[in-house]
Amino acid sequence: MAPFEASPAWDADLNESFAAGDETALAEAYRQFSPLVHTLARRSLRDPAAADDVTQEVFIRVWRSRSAFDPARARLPAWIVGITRNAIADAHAASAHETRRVLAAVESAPDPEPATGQTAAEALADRILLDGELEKLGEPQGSILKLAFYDDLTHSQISQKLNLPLGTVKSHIRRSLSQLKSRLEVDRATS
Amino acid sequence: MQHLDPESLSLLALGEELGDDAAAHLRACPDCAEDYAGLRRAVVAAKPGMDAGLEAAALEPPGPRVWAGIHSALGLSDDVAADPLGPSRTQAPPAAGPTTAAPPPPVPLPAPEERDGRNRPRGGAGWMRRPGVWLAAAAAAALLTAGIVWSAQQSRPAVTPLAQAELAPVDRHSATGVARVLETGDGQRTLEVRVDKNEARGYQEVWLIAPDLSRLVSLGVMTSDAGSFAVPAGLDLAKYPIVDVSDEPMDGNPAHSSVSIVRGTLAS
Repeated sequence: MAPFEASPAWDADLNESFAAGDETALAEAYRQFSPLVHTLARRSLRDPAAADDVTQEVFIRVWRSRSAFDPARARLPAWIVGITRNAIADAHAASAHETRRVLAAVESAPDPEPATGQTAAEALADRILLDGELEKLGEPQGSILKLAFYDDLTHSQISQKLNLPLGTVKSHIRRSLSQLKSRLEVDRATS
Repeated sequence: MQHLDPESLSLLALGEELGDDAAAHLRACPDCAEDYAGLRRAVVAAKPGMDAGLEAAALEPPGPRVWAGIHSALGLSDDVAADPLGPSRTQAPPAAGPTTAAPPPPVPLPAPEERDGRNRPRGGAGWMRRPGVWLAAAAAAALLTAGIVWSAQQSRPAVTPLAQAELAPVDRHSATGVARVLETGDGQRTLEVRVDKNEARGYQEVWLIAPDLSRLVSLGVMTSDAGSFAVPAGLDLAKYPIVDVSDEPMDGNPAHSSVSIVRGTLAS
């Protein structure tokens, strides 16, 4: 499981203490994830002040909606990333009536930051969202993907190792990857 | 041309070799390429080791006032009042007064000044509402801190500045401000700077710059939205008339980051 940790410092106990209303868990979540939240917002909204506002809004929502957070079903980092994408979408919607202004700003002031920043932040967000998802695939899907991901085995090698028909392995890989893909897309669709 | 079947696309996304025909089709077919891209994104996100140490450096932390806004809006306890991102960003004294010389008040929650209409730090003046604490802080600060001097100067229009400047936002920033040079009794000149919000990603540094931008003098770090800085004796302000507040990253590089937040030119 260790290789799946998107954020090694994130102590799983913090999921529980956050759900139980421990404010220090929120502070720790802020310490670890506010730079990611802020960067995602900044790249999407292209406005430092708006990104600060979204960051503030995200952690306020995270705390106020903690009763809806189930540590048995989700991890706090993924929960935060999901709320971030919603909050960014809301910020875009709120400024929709200012579309002309936004377009003008975008055209006149393209974000000078390197594109790699966006890639890194988005990739990290994706990684956090999929953290732990392999465990939810069930068996043998989880084992099949772990052999593919961790051990770099081909589908025929996996077929031999697990003594499963080749077609079964391929079918499991297709469905599992599709599920992971939709996990990212569902989340994105809300943003 | 026949499309790649979903299983083949999945195997390709995992990095398996399926022959030149499959690779050629993937390059030529936008539909298959799109499906592949989505699957590949999932593989990259789920597969370990493809982005070891995902560049924390590429991430930009929020401004130093964000946590204060959250803390205030949620009514969190004083135990978690400090910015979890660490004190290095909000070098003390955070809010004892608008100058860097005043000692911080011994209270757990620094009073975040209204940054702008959006932040609404409801409990922002919390320490002001606690007279005992405030008096203790005032006594500890020995009454005549530079902050109080500033307050007195602020409320005494009789002081005529030697020069002043309107500070206008630079590039994508929106902060505005004012700067003025005052002369204190012993001939020491002081540059007072005030901005309506702190837009620094890192920290604000105040500079005096030559008109052709070829030379510059750092006057110091401004930790809040106002600061007061001694102007070196002998520095000819006519040669360094531009007041500049920059956004400096915590990279240990003493040079101007070339990211200016506000700028203005002193005029008497």
